[in-house]
Amino acid sequence: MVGLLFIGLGRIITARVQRRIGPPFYQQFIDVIKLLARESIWHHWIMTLGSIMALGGLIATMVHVPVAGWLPYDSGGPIFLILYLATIGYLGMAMGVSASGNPNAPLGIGRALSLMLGYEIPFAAILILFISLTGSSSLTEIAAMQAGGFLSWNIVKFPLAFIAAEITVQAMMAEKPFDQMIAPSEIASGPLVELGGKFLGLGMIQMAVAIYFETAIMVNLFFGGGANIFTFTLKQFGVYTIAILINSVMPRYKIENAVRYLWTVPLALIIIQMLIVFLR
Amino acid sequence: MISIGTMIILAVVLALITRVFLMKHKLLSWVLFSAYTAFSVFVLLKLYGNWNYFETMNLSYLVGRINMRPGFMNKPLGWFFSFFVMAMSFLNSFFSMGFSKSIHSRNIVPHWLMILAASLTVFFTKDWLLFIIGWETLGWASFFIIMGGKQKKYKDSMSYYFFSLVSGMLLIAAVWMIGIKFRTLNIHTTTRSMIILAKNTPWQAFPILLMLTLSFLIKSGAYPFHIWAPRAHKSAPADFSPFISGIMIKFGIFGLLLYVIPIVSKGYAGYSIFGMPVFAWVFSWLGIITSAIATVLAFSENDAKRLMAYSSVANAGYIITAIFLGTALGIKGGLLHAFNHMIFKAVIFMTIAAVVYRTGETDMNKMGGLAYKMPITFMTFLLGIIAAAGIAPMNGFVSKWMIYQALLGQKHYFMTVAMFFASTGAFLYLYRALHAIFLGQIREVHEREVKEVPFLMQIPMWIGMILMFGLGVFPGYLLRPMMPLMKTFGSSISESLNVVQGSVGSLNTLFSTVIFILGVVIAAAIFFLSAKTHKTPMMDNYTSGEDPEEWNVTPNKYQFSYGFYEPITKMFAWALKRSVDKAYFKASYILKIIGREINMIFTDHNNWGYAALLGLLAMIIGGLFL
Amino acid sequence: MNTYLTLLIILPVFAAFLMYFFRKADNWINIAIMSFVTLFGTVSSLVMLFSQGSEVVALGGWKPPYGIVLVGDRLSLIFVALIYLITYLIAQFGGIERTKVNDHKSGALFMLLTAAAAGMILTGDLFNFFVFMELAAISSYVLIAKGGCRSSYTGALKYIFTGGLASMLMLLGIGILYNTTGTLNIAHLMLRIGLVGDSLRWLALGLVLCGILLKMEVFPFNLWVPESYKGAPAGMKIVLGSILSTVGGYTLIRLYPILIQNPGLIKMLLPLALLSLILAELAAYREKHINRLLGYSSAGQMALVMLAILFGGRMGIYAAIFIVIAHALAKAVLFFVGAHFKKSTDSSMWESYRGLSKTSPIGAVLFTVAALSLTGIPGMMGFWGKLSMIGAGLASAKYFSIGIILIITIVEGVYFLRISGTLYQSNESDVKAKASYLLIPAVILVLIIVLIGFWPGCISKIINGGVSAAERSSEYAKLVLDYLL
Repeated sequence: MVGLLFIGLGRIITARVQRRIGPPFYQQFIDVIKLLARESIWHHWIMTLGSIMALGGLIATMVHVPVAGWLPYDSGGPIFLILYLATIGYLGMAMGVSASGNPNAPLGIGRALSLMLGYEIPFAAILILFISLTGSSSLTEIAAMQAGGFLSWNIVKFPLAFIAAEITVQAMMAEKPFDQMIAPSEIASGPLVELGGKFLGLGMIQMAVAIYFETAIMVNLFFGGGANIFTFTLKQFGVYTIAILINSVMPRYKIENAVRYLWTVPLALIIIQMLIVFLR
Repeated sequence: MISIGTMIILAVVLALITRVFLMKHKLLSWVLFSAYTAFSVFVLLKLYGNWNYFETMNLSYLVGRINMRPGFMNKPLGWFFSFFVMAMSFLNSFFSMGFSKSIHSRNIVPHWLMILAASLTVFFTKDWLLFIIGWETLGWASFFIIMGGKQKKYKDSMSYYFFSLVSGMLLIAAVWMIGIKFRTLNIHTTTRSMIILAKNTPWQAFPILLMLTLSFLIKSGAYPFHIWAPRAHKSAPADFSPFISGIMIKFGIFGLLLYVIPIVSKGYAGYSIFGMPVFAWVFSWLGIITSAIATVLAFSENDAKRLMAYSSVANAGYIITAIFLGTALGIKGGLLHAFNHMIFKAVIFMTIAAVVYRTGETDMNKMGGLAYKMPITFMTFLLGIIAAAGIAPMNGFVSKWMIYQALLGQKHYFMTVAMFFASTGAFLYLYRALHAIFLGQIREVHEREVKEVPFLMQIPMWIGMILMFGLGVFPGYLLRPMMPLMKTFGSSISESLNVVQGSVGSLNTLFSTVIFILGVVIAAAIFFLSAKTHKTPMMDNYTSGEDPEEWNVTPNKYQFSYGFYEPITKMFAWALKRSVDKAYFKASYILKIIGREINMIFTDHNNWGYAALLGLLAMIIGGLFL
Repeated sequence: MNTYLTLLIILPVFAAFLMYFFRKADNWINIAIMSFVTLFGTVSSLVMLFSQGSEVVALGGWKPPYGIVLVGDRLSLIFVALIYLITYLIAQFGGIERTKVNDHKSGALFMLLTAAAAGMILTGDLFNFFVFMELAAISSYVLIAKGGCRSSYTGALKYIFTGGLASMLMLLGIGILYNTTGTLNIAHLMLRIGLVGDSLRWLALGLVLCGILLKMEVFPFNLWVPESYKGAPAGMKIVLGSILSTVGGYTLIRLYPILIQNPGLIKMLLPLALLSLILAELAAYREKHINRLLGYSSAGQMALVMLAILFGGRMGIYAAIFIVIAHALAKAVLFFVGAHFKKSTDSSMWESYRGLSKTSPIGAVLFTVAALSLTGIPGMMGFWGKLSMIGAGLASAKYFSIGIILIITIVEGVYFLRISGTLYQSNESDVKAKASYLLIPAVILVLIIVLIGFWPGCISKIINGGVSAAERSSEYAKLVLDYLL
């Protein structure tokens, strides 16, 4: 739900940046409900399976991300599990849209996966940096490490890593300049091309959930987690805003350039950061 | 109590019988095979826990000054590998029974039985001599099986055999040096002596260890010896590919775990780097390099079998990296991944074989949309690649997680990042396979002819699916029996059913799976509670509701498969230009030319004088300098 | 028992003359004569071999070291049995079809060859050895030339030239030895070799070796090998590969005690053997004609034998004996099956044997087993030989040689299995199998190979006896010289 709210607000911000008024902030909710209420077509049960699997995976991922230090059950916010559960989400969506039969879909997926190869590497490096610092692969611990006020947030301690992470997360959320997956004008929205009605509705929910936990991860990593849910959500929104702002003004990369970029710039930043940390 | 020796001899006898009498009766041969493997699984189960069991055969060989009485001992490491070999062969036999009706199949039972006999020998042997015998037998038996594939050409098989020979020669040389040094060929004793030697005088132990490691790495398909893997997989009969990928690559791992790893982790007093002996560190990195290169090579691959072959090589790379870390967690992760890989790779290859059974094709660019016709196969393949990519909640995730933990625990951060690359890459090419074969649009010819595989062939697929999922949720079912195995490596952690311990965290697989299922339920709820759906054929949507047949044209089918990852392959084009493949080609070409020239020496009548001179020179120079 | 040794040499000579008398009769009489003689030889030598004794016969009653002795000790009995077994198989099965080649003249020459080979092994006198060697050589020249194709004449001619040259050198060496030590009795020579001055010893031994190395197809004396193997008639090929080279191997093993007293000689021979091995196997790698290929393979294997002897020690000699026997058996199989293939497909290029496994499945299996044995795959006899040899080499720290041997084994494995693979390829031709009777001897031999492969223990005692006999010159001398004194 929160994710949808974010998207709605995001649209306003984009619009404002682009000198438009933009839709009302609850637009996204309306869209989703409308879509879910529509009759939709499907070609094969795999599409259904894919959509459900995708959303299921993403929800499962979300459950594992600590929000303001709170988790539904004490899993410790395992980083690897989160990463890999998210992949199931991806796989489900990819599978579902492939089964739709429209070649634009796999085109988009191919790009999306290529991009994923691009951003996973620097992201993994960032995670490893933090794991090495805390000695634990638990997000709650990493968040807890930053307790004690504004100045002990990781964004302040490791600014280079933060910049690198921002770039990476931009790609994770498929915002420009990294939205090759959707690329509305190039490949007819890619994976979304054959999704109609509640499939599209589910897709939007998927996107919302993804944004939610991606920003949550960022907050846990860099912004100290948050003492309660309100501050947490605020911080999440802050992250999202940055992403949207960049999105509204930038064009799109070519895939190979995108991957190359992701492998060089953020990775270099992180390596420098690591060196700084280890040599100190 | 049936002895191991009996099992081996039984296999050989059965192999002879099938070879001589039953070559034409494929089904009967497979039934025999099935019975044998089932029987051996039973025997093995009886042997579990009986770790002090050993037997000696009544033959005595005098080799040089070493008097040997060959025998077998039941140790956990050998037991586990044997068990998996037999169990997977058993599963495969059902599949092959159905597959044998296809025109593409050949009767490979006799050679497979020989391989099983050789495997038992290698896994349970007490001394190195039997090990060598089993090793070499594996080589030539596989040569004949691999050759029996669809093409029935021997070039690819020869590539495999060449590497097998090199591995064998290195092994023989190393074993002899061990024998001469320690005056015995008993594996147990020589391990202990070797540890002492490595502790005190590492320089003496080094060449032997190096030769052994290389020998085993070649068999595992590590870089730069990975050439044979894609070729052998491609040429082998489709129902043997599961075995090659799952089992044969693991023989090298077995060898490493049997001899090299204990020595390296316990006593090697050479230089150290990052808390690991340099020797181990180099090979850990070799494993990573193998994974990375195999992954990149897989991106541009168009043949399903070759793609999966590269995937196997990459997975072998993970295992190699993990076990060379030397820590208990590393070895556990590597071993678990080895066993998991056996299961999921075999399953994947079985599905590919099923596709071959129905379509006769392995070129992915010629397929598409088969899931609509072969749903079970599709589901199996899907679960298989989820496991292969290391995604929860399948079994591949648990072992990969452990390997990551092991790496991080030893603070090998760069290795972890590299492994991430390989892992993500794996997801990429596995998805590509899924899409190109099973999803997208289906060709007309397939639309008409293809249906699901017969039930007999589905049995192992179902079992595989259950295994992958089950072991993913309850890894303890595998980890618990592995406890005695881990004890031999010095770890006595007691395992619980669903919580796995790592070095920087722990994993509760049951909970995560439950959460996942909950998520799916919620998603399904949203889905089904919303408006109803309406099934339309794919082409309607695609052609915007028009009907091309009205205008006497066929619908324009377009399956996106070729050049799926073109951007990425373009990025790596500079690296792919220098390939090890080409190096080998060049070498073999040079050898051919040399051979021809030498041939000329003998047949060309004018060369006698030169030849005589050459001989004389050799004698003189050699005598002076050597 | 004493007479049996003599009979082993005399009988075939009788048979040769007998065959001339029956020249107008049917072929089967020739075969009967030859088979009877060789079978008798096989059986008696095997009996002597397994009865654990040693025999010495002084011909004509002249006591050694003045007269010629025939020595049937543990080592020579092994080889005599081996040779007779193979000649029996050739006699029984090789000449069934009456062709221009297989007439009574060939039979007679073949018998003479057998006698000469047995003589070379059994004799205890160096000059006698030379005589028999010449006898064998001349018979070989003619038999090779009877092959009928152009290579027969070329091969025979090359053999004559090289052989003649080598013989002359050998004669020279024998002369020098006689001059300096005053004896031609091998046992006596072993005792007296120290009398010869250093450099003269080298020269003499080197010259004598020239003759032996020719028989062993060592470079550079093996230039006659490919053509001769290609051109000889089928039975003769087997003789060349299994018998003549075996005799050469035996001689080298016999002379081992003399050799090891000259470490310099060993040092000089080692690179020669290595070079021979490399050249032979590499030439085989590229060879398309199957008989030439097998010829190169023979040369290579003999080089291995030489290397084993040069490595020395009990293990080295054990390996040498084993490899010689394994090679003789396997080569015979390969040639038998090869002849069968040639008759079936009318071609000697192994590439045209594609898919022959369908026509002649047994033949394909036999070929594969023999080839695998030569390469040293476990389960077959050759494995133990190769294994011991590598052990011997490592024990004497000759790492470089071992490295080369291992690499060459890989080459060997590749080219042999390549042929095997070709046999098993799928082919749509309908070739009929002809001359399948040629497979019978191959089956017998393969059974032996596999039996010993799985259970080397059954002959290890015998071979170890042979090793001891070869190793200790004093025992040999004692056996020969004291026996009749």
